[in-house]
Amino acid sequence: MAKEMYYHTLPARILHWVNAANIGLLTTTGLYIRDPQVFPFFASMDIARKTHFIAMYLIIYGILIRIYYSYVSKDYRELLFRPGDLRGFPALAKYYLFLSKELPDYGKYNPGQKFLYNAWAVLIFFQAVTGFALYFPNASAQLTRMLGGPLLFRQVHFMLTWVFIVTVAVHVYLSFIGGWTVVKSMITGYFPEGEHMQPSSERVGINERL
Amino acid sequence: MPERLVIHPLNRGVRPVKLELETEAGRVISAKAGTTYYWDFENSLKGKDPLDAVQLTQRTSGLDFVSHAVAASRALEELAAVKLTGTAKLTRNIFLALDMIHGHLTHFYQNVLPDYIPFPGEGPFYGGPGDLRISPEARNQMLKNMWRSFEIRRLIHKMMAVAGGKAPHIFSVVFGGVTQPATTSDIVKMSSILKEITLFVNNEYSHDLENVENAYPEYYQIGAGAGNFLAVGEFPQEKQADFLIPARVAVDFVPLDLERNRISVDYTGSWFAFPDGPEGSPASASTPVPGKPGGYSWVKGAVYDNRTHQVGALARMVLSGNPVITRLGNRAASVLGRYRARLEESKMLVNHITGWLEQLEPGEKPAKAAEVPEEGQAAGFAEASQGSVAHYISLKKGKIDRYNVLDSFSWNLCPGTRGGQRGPLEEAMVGTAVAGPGVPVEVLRVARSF
Amino acid sequence: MKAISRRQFLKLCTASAAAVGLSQSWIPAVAEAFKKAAAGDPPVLWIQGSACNGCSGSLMNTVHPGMRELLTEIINLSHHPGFSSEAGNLFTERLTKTAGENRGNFILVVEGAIPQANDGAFNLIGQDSAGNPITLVRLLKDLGEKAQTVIAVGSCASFGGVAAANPNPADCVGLEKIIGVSKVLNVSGCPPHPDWIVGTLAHILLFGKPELDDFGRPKLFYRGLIHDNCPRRQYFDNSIFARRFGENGCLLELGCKGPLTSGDCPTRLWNEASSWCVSANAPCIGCTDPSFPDLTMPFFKRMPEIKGPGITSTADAVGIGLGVATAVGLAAHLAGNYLTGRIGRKKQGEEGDI
Repeated sequence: MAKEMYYHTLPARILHWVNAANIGLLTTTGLYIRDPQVFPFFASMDIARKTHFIAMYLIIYGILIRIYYSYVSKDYRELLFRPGDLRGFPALAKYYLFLSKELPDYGKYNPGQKFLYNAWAVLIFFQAVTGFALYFPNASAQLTRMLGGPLLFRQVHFMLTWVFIVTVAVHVYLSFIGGWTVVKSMITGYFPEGEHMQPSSERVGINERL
Repeated sequence: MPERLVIHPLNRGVRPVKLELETEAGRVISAKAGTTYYWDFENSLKGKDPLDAVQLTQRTSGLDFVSHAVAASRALEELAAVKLTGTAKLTRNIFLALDMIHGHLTHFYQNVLPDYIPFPGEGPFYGGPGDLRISPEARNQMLKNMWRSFEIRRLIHKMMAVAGGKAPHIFSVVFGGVTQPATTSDIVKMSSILKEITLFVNNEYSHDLENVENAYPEYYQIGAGAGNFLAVGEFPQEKQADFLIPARVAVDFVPLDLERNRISVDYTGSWFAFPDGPEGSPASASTPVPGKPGGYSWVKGAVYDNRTHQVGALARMVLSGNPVITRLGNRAASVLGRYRARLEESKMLVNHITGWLEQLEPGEKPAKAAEVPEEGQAAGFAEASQGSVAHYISLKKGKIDRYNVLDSFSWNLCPGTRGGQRGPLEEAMVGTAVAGPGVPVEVLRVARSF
Repeated sequence: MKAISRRQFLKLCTASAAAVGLSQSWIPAVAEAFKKAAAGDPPVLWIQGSACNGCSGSLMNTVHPGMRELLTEIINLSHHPGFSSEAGNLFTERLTKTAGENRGNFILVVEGAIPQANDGAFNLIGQDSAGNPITLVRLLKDLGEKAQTVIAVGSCASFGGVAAANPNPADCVGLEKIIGVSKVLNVSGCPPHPDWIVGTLAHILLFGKPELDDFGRPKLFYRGLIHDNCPRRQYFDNSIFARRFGENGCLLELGCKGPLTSGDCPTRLWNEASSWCVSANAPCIGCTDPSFPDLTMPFFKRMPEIKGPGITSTADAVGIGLGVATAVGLAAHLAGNYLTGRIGRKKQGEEGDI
């Protein structure tokens, strides 16, 4: 059996699952609030809204703590997306379009992951701004009207939710095609040394096979 | 040598009007009447949801708002081929009729009366014109009724609110019908309010007008104008095609059926131009051009067969053959004739509202489920206290592309046309004898009779 | 000495709303106080700008005080275009004369927006004795300077409202853009409730300027959100939504702007506490909001549509479309993974080796 290395620290794992749960709750309650008939996930608006309002504070705290933890644990070195990471994108795209067999070795996280995880923090910031503008309509009234009015905020808040749904779906999908070891690593913290997070192809290109 | 006389503003109307007159030998020989303020927000409907028109266009008039809500809805319903439920039809009839009565009371007690009786130091009613003939006893009674008319108008709006949410600017009229089903308690409440309104119309309003008629009989000969009338038809009955007041036009008192496609717009004297689309088509978009040569009014002039037509209560009563107005013959086209037509219409409408309230069936669906089509052109018509209202809408990709509203001002205050015709109000002022120097009360009475 | 304290008055204005509105609780004490306050007689000059005059129409629906009491005993309405017997020069001259004589002492009430384009050519309110036209914008700049307090009645006068809706060729603006913000009180609404108008006037006469919110509106009447005090809140909380006109339930899906609009309509009710928009199954259109009507349209849809180059779509369609596209994309990618042997096939290959 391959040697297991300590891959995700306990705080990182806890924060991952707490934030995941909150994003899940915010998304499902959010969809329900948008239209309970199309997305009948909850018993009533009251429950959905209260859940939404609790989870919205938790996600903000969760993200702030994650950023703080990133700073103290120094894992921002591997997590923070830098302009230089852009250079890694072509190879990444080639791999995901089945044009190359293997994912190049980028270190702990590939540029796509870095970009996505950083983007989530930014997205959550925008969700918080638009969300609070709708939650405290009077406090932010002047600003909201200047920026295009509460209806626009409602629309942006809703559209960003879909960005979350799409990106989270991609994230979950890629974790699962990585295999059980990848999913397990976020639970136990250990990942077999020498294994890849993403599978490699036997051959390049789909057409060859067909 | 003609003398020039400008009265600006002619106040107490829905919009301030500028009158430019020429008098010679104590008579008005030429007249121009135009509004000097721009009130046209149809262009802001471009690119908007079609249903928004029903709310937004109500803001055309704080007095005749129901007619705009109904006309906008009818245009959309024509596009979607929706047939209204009985409740929707009756409820709208009630709103329209109430709005007309409200308008008639406002007209008589607020616009007309101060030209006949002085208001001694009470509130904002200061001053007083010359030529006052009404006896002090009658005057006191009329003053009392003037104050009472505020209460009655308040009750009319209250009655509208019971079924319509609020007034001014009613909320329950929507595309497809009305939002509120009739309930027994609402019907009872409305019937009870209606009794008070009916009593006031049939007694007080009626007596007060008689007082004016008795003291100023010659005003049945003043302010005639041409005998051209137009009504777009109102108060649909059981059968879709039936109207209580038929859609007709009359030239020199000879009535004919109205053909809607003969309505056109004439912006010769209006500060408007056509940026695109056929000139003269009421469905065309228009842009404001302040200071346009030859223009003198912010009213979009409307003509039928290139002829100006008078609209309003008098037109409706003449065209529907109201017995009292018919008996007046050609004298109906006069200052007093217009007052009388408004009273006769109010009397008729209070009776009809009673009937419509009885026909309302609690529990019936108030609105039809329907979708406005993505593309199309249509027109919606309605009658208001001041006169006919027409809404022209055209849709593109599910949004409003063009919208145009013609209201009573377009007809009665139609500025001079391409063919050199005067608008009905201008026509009515010409020939009026002017007694003294200064602001001639006779002209004011004629101008405010519309 | 005032017959009624400010605290009592505020209580009457707000708390009473729960019962039947300011109108009904217009107790004799208030009327008495008014007469005393009105002894100083600050004249009220009411000007109609670019408006439909629905605000004046709404004021006339006032009860307790009714119009007669209001006009003859409570306020000294010296000028109103809808009531004045005079016309032409006499009318405008009287207005300027009253304003000049009462400099710094009169209350200016304006209904309607002010068009600024072409030097105000879009609204000439009359002419002076020399025959020169008087533009509304010039008149209001002059009167605004002389007035003690200025009240903007209705959304047009407050924020531009319907008059200033896009594309606004006349360049209509609200009063605060013409006269200093500090001097203007906004009583927004299309039209405003008569109680809001009368109550604001009352507060000024009796106790001076009331406390204002961010948009210069008296907090007395515009504090709460429609949605928070809505009698149909229970429908919302229980997710019972009207989907079609005429249905009962929360009207959010029919475009109700209650969650974004301030006002006490749900508790005060309209037309002698008879009803209000939502009671008639009609969604709130946000008429008191500064962004009315441009940003509160579509009135009957919950969210505006998304406009892109050549496409218009609802936010729902875009969202669900994105979701479906992602699902399809991921499924295709998964298939690709199988076909390239990244997953699934590999194990078979290993078995084959044995």
